[in-house]
Amino acid sequence: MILDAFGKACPMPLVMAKKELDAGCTDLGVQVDNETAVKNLKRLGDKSGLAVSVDEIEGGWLVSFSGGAAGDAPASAVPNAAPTSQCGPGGCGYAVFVGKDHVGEGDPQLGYNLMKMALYTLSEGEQVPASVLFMNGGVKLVAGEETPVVESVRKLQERGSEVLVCGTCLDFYGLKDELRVGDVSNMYDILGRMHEAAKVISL
Amino acid sequence: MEPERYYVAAFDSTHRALGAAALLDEGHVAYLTIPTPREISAGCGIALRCRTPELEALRAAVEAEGPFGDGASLWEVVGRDYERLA
Repeated sequence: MILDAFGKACPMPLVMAKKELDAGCTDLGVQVDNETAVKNLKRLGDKSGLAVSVDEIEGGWLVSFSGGAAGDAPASAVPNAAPTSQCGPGGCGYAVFVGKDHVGEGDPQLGYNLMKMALYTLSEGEQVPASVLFMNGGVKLVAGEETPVVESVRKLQERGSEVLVCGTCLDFYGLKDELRVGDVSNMYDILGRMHEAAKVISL
Repeated sequence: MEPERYYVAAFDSTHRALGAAALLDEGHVAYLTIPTPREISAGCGIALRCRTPELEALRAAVEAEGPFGDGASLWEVVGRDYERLA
């Protein structure tokens, strides 16, 4: 089956693909015209345990899924999955949600520096988060010219944390082409990581 | 592998730490805002960390807010060893 998602903004191509995969379709192609959709679809395929290929076509790309059964992804197919030793009844590891560029309310300069310290401290800690999720004003910490936490977030990635950054938010703030660390993502994946984690820490 | 070498400025006042950080931001100097390491005794929990090329900029930013020894200190850190420079 080939889906035409030309002209459809993120996350619509993902929604269309996920609907078909959830219905059991494992031989699927999606035509898209933006790179963010390509990345999101590739990640969806990886998570679903499907083979994904990308071909350039006139006006965009064709992302094809094949093989396996959707929803039967082996644990190893989940990028940076938390070790099973960190799993409890509620999920595995912990997720950190960064929804703004400062910690708490009060003086903005203090809050901004506290955020930088918090991410640095996480990157140096014994147990790194399974995922770090940036949304809304939080994306300004990892995209643009002033990116004070990039080094800390890269270290988190190197140590096994998955870093997802809201693509809609990057687009809103005009930072889509200026992401310095992490993967452009969407509401499905970000909420999915929260759901998978044993706990979510909001900064 | 050689242990990592870096420099840490610690403060007795949060306002002084934030003032120095703002100056480094204005100068586009590469540095990290970190919790004051447990090895350093200081009144403020915010410290600034940099590498060797940015040491003089860090030193200047701290001194612009007041002299060392009077509420601020500068440390060289090599691995787990801390040596006070100012």
